[in-house]
Amino acid sequence: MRPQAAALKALLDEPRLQVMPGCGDGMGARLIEEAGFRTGFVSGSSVSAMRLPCPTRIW
Amino acid sequence: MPDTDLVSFSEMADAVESCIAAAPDVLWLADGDTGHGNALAVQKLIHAYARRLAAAVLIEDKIWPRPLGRQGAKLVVEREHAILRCRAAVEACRNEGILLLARTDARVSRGFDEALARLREFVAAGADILFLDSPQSEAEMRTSIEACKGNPTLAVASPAGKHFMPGAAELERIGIYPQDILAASGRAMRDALSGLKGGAKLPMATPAELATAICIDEYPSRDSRWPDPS
Repeated sequence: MRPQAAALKALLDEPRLQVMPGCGDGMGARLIEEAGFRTGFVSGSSVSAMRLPCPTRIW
Repeated sequence: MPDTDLVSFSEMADAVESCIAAAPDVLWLADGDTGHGNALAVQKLIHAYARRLAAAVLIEDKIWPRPLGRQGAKLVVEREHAILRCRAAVEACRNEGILLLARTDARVSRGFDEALARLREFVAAGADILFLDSPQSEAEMRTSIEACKGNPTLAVASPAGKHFMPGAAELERIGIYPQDILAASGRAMRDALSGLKGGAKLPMATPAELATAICIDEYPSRDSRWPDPS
């Protein structure tokens, strides 16, 4: 198992809540790390909202 | 735009790369959605996210591409197809040495019993982390967690979600907050622009706060190592 997966598995094996904030870009990810969260979620809905905010202006 | 499955695999892979590269000390779950295609597409996506150093990938049982004209309903593939997709995802995750989060969206369109049956199948197929989308009661959430046989499960706290959500104090394992940064950013951008148009100037990041957010101090030392000749 890759080290990051083993670390996540070990964290989830602890019987307590892991709060996992979602983000859609690098700055959000940076700030999740800066705030001290151990886990994060690259969220499809956030990527969609931040990259393609308005369908009628795209096609 | 809302999450309508129009973001392509490559756009997502690019976002996954940016996020993980920007914060490598965080353990990342990367959103694989439906896998954007058949079982081979699911495996391709998992390999790509693993190479970008995701610790886990989420794969769900919605139909791809999303059928239109259904009032945005969350429609899922048939159970056998969902199991096949999950098995392909498990194989790819095992080969890469990362974790699979298997999600079922069957609760809304097929009912709780079908969703529960799918979770059991995903556990049997070897999924590491399970997620029932849109549980409608505490009883449903508890029953679904029991069906996952001790595997970690996920609860999503989405303000727009039409689902049961316990308080954080009642949760063990993972509580995911997908939209807080997005919602806060939307408010903050509107506030800033309103301030530029003469409205109230609300507090923003100071130059120093922004500098640390984007690591400005790390740049000059690199810059000065490579002065352009003449």
